[in-house]
Amino acid sequence: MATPTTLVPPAAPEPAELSALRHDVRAFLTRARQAGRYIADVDAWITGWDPDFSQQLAEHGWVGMTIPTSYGGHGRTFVERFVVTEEFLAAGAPVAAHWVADRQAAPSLLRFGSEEQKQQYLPRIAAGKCFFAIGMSEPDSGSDLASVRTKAHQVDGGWRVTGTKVWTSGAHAAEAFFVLARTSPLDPTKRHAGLSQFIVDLDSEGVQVRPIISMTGQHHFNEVHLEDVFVPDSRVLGEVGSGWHQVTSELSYERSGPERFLCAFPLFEGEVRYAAAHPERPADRAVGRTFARLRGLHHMSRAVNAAVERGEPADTAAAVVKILGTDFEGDTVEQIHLSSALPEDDPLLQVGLLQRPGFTLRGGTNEVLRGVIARGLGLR
Amino acid sequence: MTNTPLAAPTPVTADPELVVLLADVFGEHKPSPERTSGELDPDLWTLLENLGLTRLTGSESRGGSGGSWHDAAALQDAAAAHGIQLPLAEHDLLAHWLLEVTDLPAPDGVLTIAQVSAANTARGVPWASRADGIVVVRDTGDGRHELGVGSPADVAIDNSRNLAGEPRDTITLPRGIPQPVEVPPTVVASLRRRASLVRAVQICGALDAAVAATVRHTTDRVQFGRSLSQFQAVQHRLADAAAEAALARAATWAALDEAVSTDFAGPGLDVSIAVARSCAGHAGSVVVRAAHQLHGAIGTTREHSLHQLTVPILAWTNEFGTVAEFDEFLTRAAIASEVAGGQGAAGGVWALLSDPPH
Repeated sequence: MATPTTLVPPAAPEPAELSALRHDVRAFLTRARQAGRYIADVDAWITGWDPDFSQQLAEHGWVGMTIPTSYGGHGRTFVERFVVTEEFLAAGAPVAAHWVADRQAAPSLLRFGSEEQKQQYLPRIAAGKCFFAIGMSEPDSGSDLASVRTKAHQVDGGWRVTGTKVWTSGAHAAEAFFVLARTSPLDPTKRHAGLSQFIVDLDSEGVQVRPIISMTGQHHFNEVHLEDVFVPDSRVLGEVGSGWHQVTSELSYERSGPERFLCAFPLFEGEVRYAAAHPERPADRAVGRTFARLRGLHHMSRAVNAAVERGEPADTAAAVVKILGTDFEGDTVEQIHLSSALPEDDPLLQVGLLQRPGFTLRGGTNEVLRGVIARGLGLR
Repeated sequence: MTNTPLAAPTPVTADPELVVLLADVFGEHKPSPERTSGELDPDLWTLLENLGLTRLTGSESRGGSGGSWHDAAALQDAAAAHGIQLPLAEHDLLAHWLLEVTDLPAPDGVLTIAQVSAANTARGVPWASRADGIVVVRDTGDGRHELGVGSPADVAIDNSRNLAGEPRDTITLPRGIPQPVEVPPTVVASLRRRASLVRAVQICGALDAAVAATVRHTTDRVQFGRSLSQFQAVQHRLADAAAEAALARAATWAALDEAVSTDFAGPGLDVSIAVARSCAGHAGSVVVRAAHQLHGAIGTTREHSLHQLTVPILAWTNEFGTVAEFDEFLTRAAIASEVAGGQGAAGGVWALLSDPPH
């Protein structure tokens, strides 16, 4: 029964052709893993930067899938991209290099970019040779994006941009990043107006990239400082003043994607394999419960993906996937830890425990997203 | 990759006219919260019978309405959402189905189903004391099953009830099953899956209705000068409850689709139904707690309708299979998938999780 509280649309079963695609990707990744080409990791879509691997995936047609063939892509649907992405994540494959270009840059360029921008970037994204980062958050602007202070002012032939972006994954290795900046002064009654998006080459004069080392010791986050950086008019993305609309219009795919419940899957798989290899240990019912939630989230995430592809509004449903999925990832790690389902020195468990705080922060904190759901329920 | 880009197929849903009809009928006959639980309301049953709803999925040649299982799910969902207590699932989806599939004549009146041991007894039989006939499946104890229809005269009934007050009786057939017919194991397996799945559907209906009732209550109730719904702590608790209910529904819809497309015989269906029941059961604890917490003390009273939603959730959670059994089954299935095909081969727990049945 469709009540207002049925927050997530129904999904149809996965057709056989999609499963065939799924199996192609899985077979490739299994071979790569068995050959020692990579070691499966928790959060590898953020931490596993491997340009050669990205290029190999691109050669199979699994990067830039939704980019039209006229721009060097593959003209596939988001439903097809979804199964490929699920396979990458479940296998813990190092896909960080092309992740942002594939997930955010390409759809934004397709929707808002100029013809010249599309020609310039899309074919190389699809080839796994052009990597992007995203500059949204700032030191004083985390969940409250409308408060960004990075400013751009118009000069002859372009713009001068000054400000600091943080949590910019991969900025030290990417070619360019999307910068959200204020192009007209903040109007407290219309906080979302006056923002614009720029495509900034990371080797531009005045761009300084400083590493932010995570508590794991890894470097994937950066602070990017822009000091009076010249950005030509040709690198304004979309319309000046429409930045807020542009950055929020693509959020449903990001929030509801399989990276919101599969980050810890390699660890769960490790738990199950360990149990299979140690039949003398009593099996923990929590394995079954985890399996059930994973399967439920898989169906929900599929459902939202399909709804977005059909053009239906899915903001609330996407927020549901993200809060359930990311809380669940953390629960999985902690359940394995507290029940000693894996040895204490298991590398995936250690990575999982240290990556866990990030699960429920990135892509909109779960506190903000509970507010989105509350709005969907009509409570605000 | 195929040449044509693949869009998502359209989900199968219930007949929209039926959904409207159900909301109207049950809305109009919503039971009083202070009714006596577990009484079969004969007027409502007759009304539903005249609307073709009590035999919704029966074939037309046997007096049914020829509806789909998706239609039946809409009926169960709506009945649960309105706090209706009637053996609609047992009568149509289990008892009449079993008689139809074994080509046995159906007696008149309200039917239920019992699975008795070799010693001819069964506990927890839904509505046995209120039914006109009991379709009995007997485990012979040597791997076979036989079927027969018992009239109340053939059966000794010891009345008992579930937490929600629905009859869940202990029955004994002192003279065994009258005129037993052997039933193949596939039919017995199908019966078990139907019964387990229908409870998941009912739980989902009640979960969503409990969330909706809590949205209404927190919006209407003013404390400290504003609606409860304006407090962030309240919003977040409700958001979590609504999300859990949505997860249970996603898992249940997927199991339902698979059940229908494989006629309840798919090789992966036991896993999918266990997933649905696990998600629904665990969602129950989150939603029931949040709904009662946010309704405050009034929600714990007999005069308030909330118990008509929350108590059945708790009662149904461990009927036709317990959450512990479903979680244990999934645990064994997951581990077996890694023993059989896993360890990096194309198989393992990810394949068990993500490969749809084809």
